[in-house]
Amino acid sequence: MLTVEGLSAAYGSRKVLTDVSFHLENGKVLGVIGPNGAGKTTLIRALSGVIPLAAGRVSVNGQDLRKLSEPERARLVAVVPQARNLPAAFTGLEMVQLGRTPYVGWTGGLSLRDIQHVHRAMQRASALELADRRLGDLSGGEQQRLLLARALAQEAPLLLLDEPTTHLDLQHQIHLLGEVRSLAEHDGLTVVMALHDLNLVARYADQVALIAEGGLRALGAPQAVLDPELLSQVYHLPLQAIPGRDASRPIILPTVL
Amino acid sequence: MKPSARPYLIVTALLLFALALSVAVGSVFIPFPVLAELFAARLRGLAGPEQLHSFAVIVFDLRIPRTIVIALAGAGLSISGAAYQGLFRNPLADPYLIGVASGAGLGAVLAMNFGLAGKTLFGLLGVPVAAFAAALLTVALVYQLARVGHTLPTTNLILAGMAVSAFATALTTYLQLSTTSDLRRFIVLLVGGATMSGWQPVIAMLPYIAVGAAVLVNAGHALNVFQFGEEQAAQMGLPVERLRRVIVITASLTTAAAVSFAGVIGFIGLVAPHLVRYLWGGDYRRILPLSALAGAAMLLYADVLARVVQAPQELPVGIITALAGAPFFLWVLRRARQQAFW
Repeated sequence: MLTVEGLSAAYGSRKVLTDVSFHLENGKVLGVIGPNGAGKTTLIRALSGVIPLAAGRVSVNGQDLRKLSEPERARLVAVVPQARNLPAAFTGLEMVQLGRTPYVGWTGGLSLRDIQHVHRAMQRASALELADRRLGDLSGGEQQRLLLARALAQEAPLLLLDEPTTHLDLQHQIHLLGEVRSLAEHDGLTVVMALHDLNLVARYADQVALIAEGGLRALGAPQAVLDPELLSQVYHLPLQAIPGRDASRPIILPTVL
Repeated sequence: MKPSARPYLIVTALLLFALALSVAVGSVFIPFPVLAELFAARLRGLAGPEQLHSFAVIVFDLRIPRTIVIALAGAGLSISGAAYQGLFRNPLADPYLIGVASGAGLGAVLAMNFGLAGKTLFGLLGVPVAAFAAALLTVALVYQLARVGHTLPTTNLILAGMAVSAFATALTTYLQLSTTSDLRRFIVLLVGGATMSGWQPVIAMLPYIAVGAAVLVNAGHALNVFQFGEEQAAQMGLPVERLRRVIVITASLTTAAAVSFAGVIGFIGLVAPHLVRYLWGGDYRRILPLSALAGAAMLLYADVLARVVQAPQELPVGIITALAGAPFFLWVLRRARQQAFW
């Protein structure tokens, strides 16, 4: 359960997010959309606790993230970053094992329980066969699966994903988001993911948050937020809705297409 | 990168042979059987055969302490280099990055200018002690200048290190030109080489190197996490600020101790960790201890070479490490280009 109250974030004197509030139940997926520079990534970073909040409060399962140490926070919030600049010499298994950092001492020794969790996380993210491969030899999609496994190894109830599909082809996009969907539905994880693709958001999110100019412009069910008129304003581009396979989830396309 | 004892066995064997060689070789060569005889006598608490007395003095009062100083310096510089490279995710980071060497140089030349050469401070020779103090002060200054609130941004640290280093080096050069005292010793310190003999430097540097190496060896897991960048490291639950501070301070202290008693020895802190990484992979839990062992061995071989190439005259070991280290480093770099090991 994620509760965000009056969150504001700034880089120096430049305000990036102002007064964002929302609430997300366990097992639900929130898709965060918005134009470039609107503050999607900043929201993910603020929720993960790596940038100080200018104002407001983020709590996971009732615990205020600001009051927690790094390991305590990492047991509540796990992040799947974009797959880029990963250290090439590490193997898949070695990277996923680092997901146990919040549970191990500072020398990093793994207990039997840690090893079991690593195995389960890799299984869950369909990454078991990548265990002995070096990160430098893997495709973007394979790296992304391992990053998901690393985040799952943290056993955190809140999972944050920042543009996880950016470097993936269509097949891998659908596969990854299906996996995320099932983590929410079957494992009860609360998921916040920033995505560019409006139609993937429409398909895989329970709720959608539209961020524009540093504020929360709209929040609600996909069919409510993914309104061509509203989106046309925010993206400064005429958009149209085309009926999809599922009537409640129309497909949004620029009118030039 | 499967855990295995083989790399440790290889570098330990190389180190043991280097230790023996370093005790045997010099202006007087002492054959291994004689060495064994001397050690056996010493272990039984005997003075040893009368005709070997001068050998005993050379071995126990000169060669062994020098060997230990060189080994400690090699280990300290290499493990610090490995830690800096891991922390800053920069293959070019070296132990002198944040001004340790130039600070030590300034301290040494200041001490000489105040006529401390050959004199003692707190029972220790004045010049290395002054070098050590100045190195620590420089690092503290760089740290303060680079600090932003409670954080220590990497680029700030490197830039502040460069600026303070340049300033200290300018002061050093000015003082050097106006000094009248023993310049040769100063040059040896700056080029790298043991500047004093006997057990004093061993006792002075051992605690710093031992504590530093013990802390850094245990930082392997943290440095592995740092390889994903500081933001991801924090998201994975690593106390980034605190660990970065611990690692920077420990590595600087270790380097300062090495430089002050063994001189500014270049390339060891760069070559040893790179070689280890190239041979045995990027896991810092093994890079750190293996770098320490390999660095100690490599510096001993270089020091042996420095003693024999122009015998009976000794070269500063820093000349050998630079002459051999630079081409060797380029060779590793070329070979490593085929496999992205950074």
